[in-house]
Amino acid sequence: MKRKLLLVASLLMIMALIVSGCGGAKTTEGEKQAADAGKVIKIATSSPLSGAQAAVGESIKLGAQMALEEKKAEFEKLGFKLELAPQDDQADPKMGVSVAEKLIADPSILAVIGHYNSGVAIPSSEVYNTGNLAMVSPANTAPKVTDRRLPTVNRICVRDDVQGPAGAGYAKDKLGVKSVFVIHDKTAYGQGLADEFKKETEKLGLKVVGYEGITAGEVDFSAVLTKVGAFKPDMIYFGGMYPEAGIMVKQAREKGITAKYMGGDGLDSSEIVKIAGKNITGLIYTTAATDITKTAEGKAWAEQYKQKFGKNVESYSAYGYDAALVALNGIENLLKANGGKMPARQDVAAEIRKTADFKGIATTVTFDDKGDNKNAKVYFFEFKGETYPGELIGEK
Amino acid sequence: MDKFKSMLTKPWMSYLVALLAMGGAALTVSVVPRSLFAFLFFIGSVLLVYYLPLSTKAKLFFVLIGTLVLMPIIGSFNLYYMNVATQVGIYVALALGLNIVVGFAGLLDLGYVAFYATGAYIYAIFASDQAGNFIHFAKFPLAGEWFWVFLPLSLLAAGITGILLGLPALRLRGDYLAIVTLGFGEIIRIIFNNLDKPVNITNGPKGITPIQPPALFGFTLNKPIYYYFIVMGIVFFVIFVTRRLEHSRIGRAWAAIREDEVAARAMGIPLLRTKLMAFAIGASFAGMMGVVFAAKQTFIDPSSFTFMESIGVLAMVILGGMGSIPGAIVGATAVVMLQSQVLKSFSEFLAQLRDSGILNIPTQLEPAKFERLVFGLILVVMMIFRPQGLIPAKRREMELLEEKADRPAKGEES
Amino acid sequence: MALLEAKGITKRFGGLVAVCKVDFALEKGQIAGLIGPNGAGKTTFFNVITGIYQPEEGSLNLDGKSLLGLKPEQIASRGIKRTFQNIRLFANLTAVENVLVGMHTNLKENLISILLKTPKVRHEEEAALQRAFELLTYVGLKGKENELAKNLPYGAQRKLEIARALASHPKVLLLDEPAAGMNPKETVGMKDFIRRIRDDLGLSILLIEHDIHLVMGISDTVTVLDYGVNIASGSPDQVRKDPKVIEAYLGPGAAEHDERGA
Repeated sequence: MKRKLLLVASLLMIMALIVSGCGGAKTTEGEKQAADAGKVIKIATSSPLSGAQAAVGESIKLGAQMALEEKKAEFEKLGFKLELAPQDDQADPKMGVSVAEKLIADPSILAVIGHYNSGVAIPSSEVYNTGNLAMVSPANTAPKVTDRRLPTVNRICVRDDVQGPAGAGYAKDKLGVKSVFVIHDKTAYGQGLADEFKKETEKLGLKVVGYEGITAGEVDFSAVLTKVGAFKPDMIYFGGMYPEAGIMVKQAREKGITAKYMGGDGLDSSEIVKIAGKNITGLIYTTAATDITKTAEGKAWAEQYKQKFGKNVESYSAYGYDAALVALNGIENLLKANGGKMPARQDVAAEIRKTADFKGIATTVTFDDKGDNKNAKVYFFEFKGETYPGELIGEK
Repeated sequence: MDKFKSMLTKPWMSYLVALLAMGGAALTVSVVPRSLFAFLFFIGSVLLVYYLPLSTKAKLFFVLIGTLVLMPIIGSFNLYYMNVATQVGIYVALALGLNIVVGFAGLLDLGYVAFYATGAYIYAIFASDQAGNFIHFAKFPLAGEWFWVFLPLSLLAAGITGILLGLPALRLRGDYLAIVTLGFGEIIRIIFNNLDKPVNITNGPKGITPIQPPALFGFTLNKPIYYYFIVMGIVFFVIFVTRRLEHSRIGRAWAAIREDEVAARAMGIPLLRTKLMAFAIGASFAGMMGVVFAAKQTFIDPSSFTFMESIGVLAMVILGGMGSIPGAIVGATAVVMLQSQVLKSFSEFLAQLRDSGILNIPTQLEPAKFERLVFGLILVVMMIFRPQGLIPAKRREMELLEEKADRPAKGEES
Repeated sequence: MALLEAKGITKRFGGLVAVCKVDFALEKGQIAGLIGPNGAGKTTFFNVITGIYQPEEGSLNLDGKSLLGLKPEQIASRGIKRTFQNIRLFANLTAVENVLVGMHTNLKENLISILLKTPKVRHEEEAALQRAFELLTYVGLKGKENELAKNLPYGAQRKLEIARALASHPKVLLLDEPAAGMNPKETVGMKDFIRRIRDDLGLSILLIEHDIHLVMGISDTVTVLDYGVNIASGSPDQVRKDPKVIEAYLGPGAAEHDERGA
């Protein structure tokens, strides 16, 4: 009996703590708002912070955090406290929408950096748009993200319908490929990319000898590889993620298939080297993220990042940083123009869309009328050995 | 609670308590609209009404006032809570539907989300230009008015899907049924994932967007408050149906099958037909909510209907108390509030403390990363210390009409 | 013509013949006892009648209509209800609800009428509830109506199971060892109780029972099974004196001590 009582009491206390904790935080924040109205500006990030894609999601968040901390002092001079509001969208469209609804209800949030998954970004951005909240995407490559022409939606990375065709062009011109076998993983991203690639190859007069889907999570690709072996294509193109790609290239080489192997930015992860081992050599991938350590500036940035967070930069760290800078730059312009008044969200969105020739660490940003970055490039990498990243062999 | 109840000797006291609590909560929300605490207080006040010794009619009155009058007012102060309440409503209907299958009839269904997906896709295909790929004589997307046609249509379609899946699956018992339903749930999702060839019906993994919002007489209903009322309408419909069925010949047959299949058959209850009915009715609720989900979300793809979604709804039913209608409602509310509100606010609170330098949390321990872990821990603790659920199922006390008149009036419970 | 009539019923499990060419007849308003040593095939025979097993050979008629090929629930709705050797109540339902489930086949409500709560449904439910309370009072469970079945004492559970079986006005009631686990005093009470329901309701009852005194005391006819074979049937007195029965119960050469066999 006593134990039960104790338990109930402690549970109640925990509840009270949680409730009063959040409640308290909210009310003090409310008071603060009332006291010096609109003195806090928040930038939110929304990316998967838990689950299988947490590593990439977190790199976006950390990149944005770097940008915020850099800009803090400048905003303080203008009379504003800058805060980051990191959100976990769990790579789940429903959670993304729920988070989006939460974000638009907070008037101090002026921009969102996110998401990682296009499937999450599309429904979430519908919500942002109803709240006039600007979104700058560091990583969503699906065409539909900006093709809906929402005034609040922007991205600084390249589109799949550029990345796929670029891969095709590179295969024809630089690799001298004549026939390809296209494989995708039946996900929105993988199939989307593979379709764009296939369309372009057909246009360029390459022969597509096969088009097959596999299921993400499979570990045995002998069925599809047997088909590949029968057609003897010059190249295999895979639209999908690194776990399947790594296993598939390994099994292909073991089966004696020597065709070239190309994939998209889903292969851009240090994990693929561990999975494929020595078979990784010669694998080519296109990606929306450049190797920032190629420039001195970028290298310094990467070292700063490592020092700060104790982690190496991931492919999208710098894009999270650039996206946040683009958003902050837009807000700062407004603040300077209107003399330190809290800008309206519509104006922020319009100002961000006006961004031109803004130089970030990974890319230079000029948005077109859809919100796509005119300067976004596709980068070609090839693994020359068992080291990540591969060698930058071209860009387009 | 009982002590508190015994203090309310006169009915007017209960009325007063209910009025004070709900009025106070609504007032608190309007004063501090951004406080989660105030919103939780409001939800708590509605729950309190359930525990007060009031007649069913009076309780219903208070709940209707709370959900249909006060909640929209609160939503006008903070639009976000309108969305949260809508989200809660969607899951309440799903939990009630699954409660019929798992709680009433005792059939462990791990593929419940398949029916939700069926409803969502039926509407999405016709309310976007997707249907134009295989139907050429009509113009798509259909107008938003069709939403109202698709509600009953998807109810039927999901019910029929339930019967089709149930026919083979329901011949099995216990663990085997669970495994087969799990498989069916995945199969439905994979079918939607692959139905972009040879004819593009579902647009495969790329998903369908944009989906038409509902409309009425040419007026588009795409504001949160409209979705809230649509969802509440469905929730009340579902509660009404579930309550009617629970204490009827059919509801008793479900309970009998749950308790003892052999004895139930010996009482003349046809097993397969009764189970199928539970399956189909539970499925039809999910199908109907699927339409609302698709319309509200404006984008659906197969990844919204994974196995984890089925497990989530099951967790709500078990957390609330299997076979208990108020349990399913409270369970769904608790899970949604925890996942999308309490835990997020708590981690934000921690992040704020860190930002202002009060608390030193290393970046590796980003609080937002641990929301799911804490949620899981709460579920585990709940199951250890209250395995019967938050509001366990209670059998209704039955009395004869003439006897009721003799006895002193007693607050109805169930 | 007998109400319930079985002819040449044979049920095999693989090579084992559990019930072999058993003839059995139950007249309206009679109590028939079915006895035999352990493993004699009594419960198998019961399960054949209630449709749980299908016999390989033989015929089974109720009121001249064949019951072969019917499922348990169909046989129940034809008017044959049973109780179980190891009580099978709906443990988490109240006593009244257990009885209401017993009325399942009598109620006409369907999905639509329940949802609309038509006056017909309301009247039917009220009448059903009324009858359930009456039945519970009749079997001596007044005041326990809203107790969960699992919380009732053992004897009350037995009675509730019978009340549940009676709820749908069956033509034939099959009782599987209703006095199992009862002390002698309770057994006498059960004996009176069974006789009373037969007399009051004009039921035909088939009874499996280990307690020979109980069976001999109330049965109009007794059928004895041994190794699945019907070795004797007739009035209790005839059966009591049958040497084959004595042998089956007490072993070979025991016939002369027939007094003990009874």
